[in-house]
Amino acid sequence: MGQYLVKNRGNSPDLANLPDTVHREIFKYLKPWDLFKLSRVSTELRNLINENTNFTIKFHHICLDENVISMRLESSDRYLINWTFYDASRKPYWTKRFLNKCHYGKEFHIDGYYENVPQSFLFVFQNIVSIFKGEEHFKVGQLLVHPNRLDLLSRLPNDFLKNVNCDKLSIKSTKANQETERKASIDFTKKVLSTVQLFKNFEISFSSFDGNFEYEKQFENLDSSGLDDCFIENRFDDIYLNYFLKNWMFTETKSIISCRIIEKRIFNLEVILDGLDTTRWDGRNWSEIRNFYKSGAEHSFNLTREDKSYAVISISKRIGNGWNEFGILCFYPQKN
Amino acid sequence: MSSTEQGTSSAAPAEPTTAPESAAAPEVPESFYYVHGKDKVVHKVSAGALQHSALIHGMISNLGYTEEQAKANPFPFENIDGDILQMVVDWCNQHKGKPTPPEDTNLPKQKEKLFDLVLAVNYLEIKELLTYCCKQVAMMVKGKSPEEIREIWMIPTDAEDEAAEKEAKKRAGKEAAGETAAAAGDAK
Repeated sequence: MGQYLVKNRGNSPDLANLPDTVHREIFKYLKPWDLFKLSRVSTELRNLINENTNFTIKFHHICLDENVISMRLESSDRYLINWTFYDASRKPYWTKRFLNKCHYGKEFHIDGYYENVPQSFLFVFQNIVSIFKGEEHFKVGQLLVHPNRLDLLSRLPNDFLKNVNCDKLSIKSTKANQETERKASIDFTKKVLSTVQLFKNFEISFSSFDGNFEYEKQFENLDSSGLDDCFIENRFDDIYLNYFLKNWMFTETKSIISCRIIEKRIFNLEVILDGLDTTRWDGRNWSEIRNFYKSGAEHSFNLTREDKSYAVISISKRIGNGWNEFGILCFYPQKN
Repeated sequence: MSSTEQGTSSAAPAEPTTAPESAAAPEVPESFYYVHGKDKVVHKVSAGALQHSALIHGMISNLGYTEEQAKANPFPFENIDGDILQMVVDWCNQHKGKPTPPEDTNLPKQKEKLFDLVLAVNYLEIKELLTYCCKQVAMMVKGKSPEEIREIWMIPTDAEDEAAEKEAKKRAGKEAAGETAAAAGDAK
């Protein structure tokens, strides 16, 4: 590198001291990923890129998982960069051949292997935020955070947090049917809300992925103190489930938007349907019904509250390799 | 001005009357203008070729030179090297009255030449050629890692840059001190 120690300025032109009209023209032919790499060459070039490009970036997805960190970002002209930060110890021997990067049309996939994954993520993230503007379009589509990574979220650049409008905070627990786990989820949610105060309008979904029950609630403009009542008191036992579902059919609260149950849970349709007016399937479009299947189950039940005016239950039975939907029930809050 | 008049390229005619394109055109004699760069070598260029340059085109229409006046007063471009101006003139002649192709593969590959050409073309406001040049620069950056870009374009890192600047300042300071000491010695 010794030959570069001569300051390359003055008489001979270099990339950094061309007129701005020329820079704008050159940068026009570079995609966000190339601009990002160019910005890493020197501070002067980074400033030039900043002044002479108009890329805005919105983050589609940031996943701060326990094992891997990844982000997916989209530029104003729909270039996508998928960047995954792996631990260097996981680096497979063949990555050198592919330069850890794949390029498909407008999509770039970068698999980076780093000694210090969180630090590298923050470094790259800060550089991306400093290169591409993120004013009105700056938005995180999905932010997945493992409890252990919460500190990383609070270490994101301050400017980023100020500009971000986060639509959804998703809290997932694999053991949501255990009270201690639910409590841990609630505590974590509160911690997120107090650490990262960027959820002006937010939705929270809790899910149990224990294979039996998936339970989602969405809250809007909810004070975090209300979380305890909404979540912990909901028991996940089978007896409660029947009454919960029955109430859910007619409840006016907007907070619960969907509930999916698979065959392993025992629920009694007679209890649920008792006293409710039912209407035969009226020939509405099939796409209105979202089905939920689980392989190995003989029956599948899907309960969907399409909007607050009615709810649908569809029941399917497995026949051979396929499913035959044999019952569809629509529930209305009032008799038409 | 001591000028060496020369034809611009093999494609350009030695005399306007023998220009093959004007022979094809119906009886309109083509007018010629003259430009010179830093090396004072005068290049003869047809008005048609000069239309590519918004700057020169504007000058011609504002000045309203006759051919004799133009010959006596070549347009001076003191900030453009002779060989770069030659390249520009050649390009203008080659693309005179033709639709410009989507890309030009005859651009210089060496970065110094390319940057000089970019600067000249930007100054002369030749939009199409500027587009080609900028595309070429962009192509040289595309797909390269920051280290490769640094190496190709000989761009020092921030740390190297700072160190070189410090070193240069130190050297300049030493030289200035040496000069003053020498001047004091002379005065004695």
